[in-house]
Amino acid sequence: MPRAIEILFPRRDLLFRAALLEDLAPKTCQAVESRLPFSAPVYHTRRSGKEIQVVFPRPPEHPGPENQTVYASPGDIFYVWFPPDECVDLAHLGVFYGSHSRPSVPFGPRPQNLFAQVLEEQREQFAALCEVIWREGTDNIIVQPATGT
Amino acid sequence: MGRQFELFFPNRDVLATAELLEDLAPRTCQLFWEQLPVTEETYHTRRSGCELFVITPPWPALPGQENGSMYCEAGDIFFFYFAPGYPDAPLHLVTRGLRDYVHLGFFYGRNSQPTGPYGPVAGNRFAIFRDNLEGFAAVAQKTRQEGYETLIVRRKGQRETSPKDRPSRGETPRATASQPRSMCRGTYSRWGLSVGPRARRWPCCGLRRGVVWAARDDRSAG
Repeated sequence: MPRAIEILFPRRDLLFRAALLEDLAPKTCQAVESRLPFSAPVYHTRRSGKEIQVVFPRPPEHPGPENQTVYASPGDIFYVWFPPDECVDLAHLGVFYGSHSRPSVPFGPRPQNLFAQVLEEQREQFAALCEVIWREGTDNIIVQPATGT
Repeated sequence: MGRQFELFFPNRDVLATAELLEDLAPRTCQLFWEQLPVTEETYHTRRSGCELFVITPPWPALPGQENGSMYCEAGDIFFFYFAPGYPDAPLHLVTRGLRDYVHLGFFYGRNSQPTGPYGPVAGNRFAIFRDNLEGFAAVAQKTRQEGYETLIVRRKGQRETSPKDRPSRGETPRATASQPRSMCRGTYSRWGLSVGPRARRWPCCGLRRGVVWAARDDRSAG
């Protein structure tokens, strides 16, 4: 059973699970897990398409490029970080809920570390929720290690 | 100098002014002018950068391509028409029967490009901001955190909106944990879109019916 993380929307009483891609992005998985659990606001992206962004408490060590791509599929979770001289020194987790999207910054598409995927059976539900966040604004979520089965 | 129109956020009391580019896009400008006033709820773009937009039912006549561009600058206002089945149409409207629609895009910042699911898209650039783009931009930014706003687009000097275009309540309630904002106030019924039993067939069939969903259905029924 691969390791997993859980994304909890307390206000809406909804829980999603994402499987970590340990083989493809071991350092990123570890960096994210080292910060769990945390609570953070989510925003809808304005450039990347169908993606919500979770403000992430940056780990002491940035994992560096790993399993990078600009081609996102529904359910993909990216670790996003920019060097301080290039952008604000802020990390976030980008969670994609729809197709035809790609991680982008003000100057264009930008590859990011793909490290986890929302479970396939939850993606439709997750997409519906993200549409609501798009319309109604930010929400607070909790990201935690997966418990139980 | 082209005819001017106003963009007004009644719940924020923010007013901006824009001017039609009648030399460059005369058909679009005229057809747009005939639609005013328009009161709609805003959306923030998901792909195009700094853009706030509203969508309206398709106009009785459409201008076709005119002064089309895939590139934009801060302050540009674009017209788009999207045919039925457009993949980026708001899900909550599609479930209520939305087909084709008009999209009016207000670009409030730089580093942006009109973009759809297949890549950059050309729209009709038909107007530009003349006054208080900053105020408009500040509200647009806020909608990303606090949710959509009501936007009134009206001819300059057109103080009274017609009754059908008046916001259905005096003030848009802010979403709170106990009382989320309903997604279906007057707008969609005005469009002739269903807000009754069909709205309950939300496409996320497996979604647990938490507080948000129950409250939403109650309001749409009433």
